[in-house]
Amino acid sequence: MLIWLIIAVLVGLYMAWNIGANDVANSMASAVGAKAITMKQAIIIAGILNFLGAVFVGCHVTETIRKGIVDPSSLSTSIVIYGALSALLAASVWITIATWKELPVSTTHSIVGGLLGFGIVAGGAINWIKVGEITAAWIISPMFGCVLAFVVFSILHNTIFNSKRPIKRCKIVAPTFIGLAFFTIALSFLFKTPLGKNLEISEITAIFYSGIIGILAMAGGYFLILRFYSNTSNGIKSVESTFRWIQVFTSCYVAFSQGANDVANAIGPVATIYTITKTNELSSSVEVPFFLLIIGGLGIVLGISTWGYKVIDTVGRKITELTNTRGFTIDFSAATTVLIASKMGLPISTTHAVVGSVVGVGLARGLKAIDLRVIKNIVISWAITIPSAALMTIFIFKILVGIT
Amino acid sequence: MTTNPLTKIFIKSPFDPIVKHAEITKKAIEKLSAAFTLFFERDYTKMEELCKEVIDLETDADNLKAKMREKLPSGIFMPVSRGDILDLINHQDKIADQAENLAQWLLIKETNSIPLKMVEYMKKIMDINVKIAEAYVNAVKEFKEVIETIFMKKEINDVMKYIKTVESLEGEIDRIQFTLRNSFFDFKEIDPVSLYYTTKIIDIISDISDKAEASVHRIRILITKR
Repeated sequence: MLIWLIIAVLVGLYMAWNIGANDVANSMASAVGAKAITMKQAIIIAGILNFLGAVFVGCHVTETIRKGIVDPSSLSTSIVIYGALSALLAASVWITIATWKELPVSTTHSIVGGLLGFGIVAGGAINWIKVGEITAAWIISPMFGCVLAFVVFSILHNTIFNSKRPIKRCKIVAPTFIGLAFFTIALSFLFKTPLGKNLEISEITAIFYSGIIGILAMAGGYFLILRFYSNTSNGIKSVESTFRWIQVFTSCYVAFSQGANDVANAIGPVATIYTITKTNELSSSVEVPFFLLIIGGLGIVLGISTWGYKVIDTVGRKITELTNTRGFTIDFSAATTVLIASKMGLPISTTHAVVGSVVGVGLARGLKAIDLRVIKNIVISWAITIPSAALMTIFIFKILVGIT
Repeated sequence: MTTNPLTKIFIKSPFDPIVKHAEITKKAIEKLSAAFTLFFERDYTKMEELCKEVIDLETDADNLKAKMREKLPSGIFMPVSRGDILDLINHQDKIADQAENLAQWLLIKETNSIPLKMVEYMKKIMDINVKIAEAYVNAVKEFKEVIETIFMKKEINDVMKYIKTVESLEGEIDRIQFTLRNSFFDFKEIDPVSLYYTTKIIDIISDISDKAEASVHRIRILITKR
């Protein structure tokens, strides 16, 4: 039994490595591209924030991956171990192929596809309602990111750029968004989380505390802007430079949300196997062990520092025409989308939320040129990923059952 | 190697190259105007040099045009329509085409066949063309600003100002052309080939301004808020 756990941890680490390698560019590329932070800072910030998101908010999605899609309670323990391991292996192999072929495949879709394969081969213990919710989230999340980005950018455009005193407006609008982001983050920490339970915070007080934190952050942001940009000229350029450092913060917001959502792709199946090896039964009441989330966080950090920086660099070079306000809008919208999904326990693709947000800014005429063929490729990859990962899982599962 | 589509979604916009293309066009017209003066001074060695430079600039503009078109894939999404941008590139390129065309005709070096009475008018048209080229480049530059500031009213007004300058200068050329056309039969004694040469040159220098005007009309379509 222990051998399966060790293999699972290793494959889980590899999945986490993939997330760090491929997807951290989502959070850091715009800030690095805009030269708001250096690559080294990006790696450190992304590492810490992904880790924090994974550890503190990663539990919801991990629960879904662990037992929300395939209900293990009706299956024998060994079948569940083989199934979870097969799904994880299949997703890893698929992601490796996709990386090599440069297909825009999401780790989330791969692991969910894998779990579906497991559910099918193990005799249909699939929770189709949950699968339906997840599928809906995959379609809705990019759209939500798109609409949010469109609205946020239109607000920035109408309140700041079209005003006669852009800097004056900026001093009010920018802190408002900072406050909103902090409110969402604080809420994600406290609302229905183990932390919230430990602190004995009810749902209403959680909202109340988060509101206070949001208002404090807003005031903090206001004074910071006042302190650093009180004497600069009253033009668009100084608005952009104000948003430059706000972008550092929104990058953190994306990295945090990403950790909260994506770590489950790597750790969810490992958590399943861990629970079985430890208790030798399928207790579904045990919470995701803390140290597994830490392993996931570490894997992501490894991925960023060994490969992710290259992707950040590539994307960063491509977005030279992306100004700080645009980068801010994309970050803010994508991170909010991902964090909301994470709280709902819905595994979604962070990348798709970012792509949706990019399109949203584009629709608000904020981007000079984007290539919409990318969306077509995403949809195609999406459609191939589910059956491929599922079939591969079935195949690996049969082998595992055969050799034991 | 990555699965991340963000490496592909951001692509270079055509607005910088369009400004560059307009600048090349302006340079070509300035050189052409200098060559035109030398043509009437019968300083052919220097004129030849300038005409060749105009021809080279037109080649540069052509290459840039091809590059811009390649970088406008069918899936591109911009604040303005891809078709309108392609249309602008198409029209803008014709300005330099006509500059080259005239350079070719000047290289025939038949200054003597042009009736003296026409010369002043022709020089005047050419001078206006230089002014048009200047206003045109400014219109394109401001158009880029319009895109960057997301159709800010002030920038749109700036473009409109330059568009109107180009239009009124083109009107001036039209009026000169009208005068010339009216005096056409005063030159009955000139041999037909010389007259053909003369009218050809007049047509082309006027056409430069027509092409510039057609291009600013494309810009006007592009900045009209939909």
